[in-house]
Amino acid sequence: MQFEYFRPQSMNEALRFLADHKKEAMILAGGTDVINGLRTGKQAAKYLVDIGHLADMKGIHPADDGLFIGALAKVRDIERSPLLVDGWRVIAQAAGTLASAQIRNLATIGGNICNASPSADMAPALLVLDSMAEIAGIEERHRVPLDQFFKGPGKTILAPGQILIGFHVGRQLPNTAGYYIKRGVRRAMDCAIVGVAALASTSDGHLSKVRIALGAVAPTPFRAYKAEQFILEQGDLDQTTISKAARIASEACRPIDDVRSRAWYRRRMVEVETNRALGWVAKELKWGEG
Amino acid sequence: MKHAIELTINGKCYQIEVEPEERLLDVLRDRLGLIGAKEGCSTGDCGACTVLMNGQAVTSCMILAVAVDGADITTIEGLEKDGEIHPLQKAFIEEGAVQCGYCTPGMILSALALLKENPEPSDDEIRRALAGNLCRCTGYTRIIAAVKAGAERMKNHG
Ligand code: FES
Ligand code: FES
Repeated sequence: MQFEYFRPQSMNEALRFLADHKKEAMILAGGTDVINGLRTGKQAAKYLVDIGHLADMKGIHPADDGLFIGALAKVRDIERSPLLVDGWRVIAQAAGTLASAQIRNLATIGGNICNASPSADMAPALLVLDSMAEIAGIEERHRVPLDQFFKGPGKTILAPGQILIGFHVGRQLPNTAGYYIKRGVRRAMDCAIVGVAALASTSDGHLSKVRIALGAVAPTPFRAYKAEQFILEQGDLDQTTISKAARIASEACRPIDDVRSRAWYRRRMVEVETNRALGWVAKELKWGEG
Repeated sequence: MKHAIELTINGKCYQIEVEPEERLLDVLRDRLGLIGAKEGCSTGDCGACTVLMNGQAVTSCMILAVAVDGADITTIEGLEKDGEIHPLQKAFIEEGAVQCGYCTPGMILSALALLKENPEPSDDEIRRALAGNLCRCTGYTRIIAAVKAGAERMKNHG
């Protein structure tokens, strides 16, 4: 690997540099994916632009409409954030499943998302919370729903010269529960064979929101809209509804065979884990307990 | 192009010129002769290269030295005090948690980061904290016992 290292002092300087060196520049944040990519020759760059020091992209902050999670927030800090409770807890919980303590201390949430691995653990958790990604370019800033961010394995809508600044996560209803299940070969370290996040809210005893997002079973992480819709139509989170919804979710995935798992096993596990995740959510919401 | 950086390593300040592609692990081992940190996988998976950076366990093979200018690093060499090894190191020896020793520096530093935050961890918490450190010899049971014994020793040594 050979490249030149550049550390911009401000967001503007970073955006200016990226705009001037579009195709030759690569962004460095936590480094845990980039360094592997460069060393194996899978990726190459003339300039490595280290944005890891930019303060406006760090940390987790309360905002008027909920929360802002900076793209440079470390996965370890997310795992332990006192702000990520109740409806938002699923983000912290998913963060705790990623790789090892050493990697979580380095890796950033923005890196996990921009790397756009189908199995990125942070993606399903952010998807069930309807997160918006904030993107900056030299002349504009805009927000997009995260489920429009991924284009394929390793591919996102980010154009050369743009930076993912962070995520806006809306306020959740008081009765909201979300849960992420990662099934891997090992209980730690490895990538997910299947990742399932489920979330639901109730108000006045009615189901008002249901979200299911899946990882590692399609070219991108995605929302299982049909399964969500089915549950909302039934208006129930009893076992029969959950089982049917889990089946519908498994039909929505497009898994592949790879070193970690066969496609048929992935599909089967989507059903099993969606079942478990929804079951956990129903229990947490005390659904059906009068 | 070379970059001048400054690192505090085991309490000592170093000014070094590094190439952009040099990793923290390379600087420690090849430039400074601190060969306690080992290179196992080079991909962030084995934990043999673990050091503490600003108090937190990190894999030094996944860090470009130029990007951590100003960092405070502790390697296994830095645990010795007045000619005495650290209580946690003693516990590893006494519990038979070392065989070939290749994983040991990383294991001890990961365990130390855990014990600083959580002086009385459960077996599960120890397993989780050490999940990123592979050992091909011991079978882990003795390592977990050593971390527990080390926690006890550290309490008594203040
Ligand atoms: S050498 Fe760094 S984790 Fe294996
Ligand atoms: S003692 Fe040999 S690898 Fe752990």
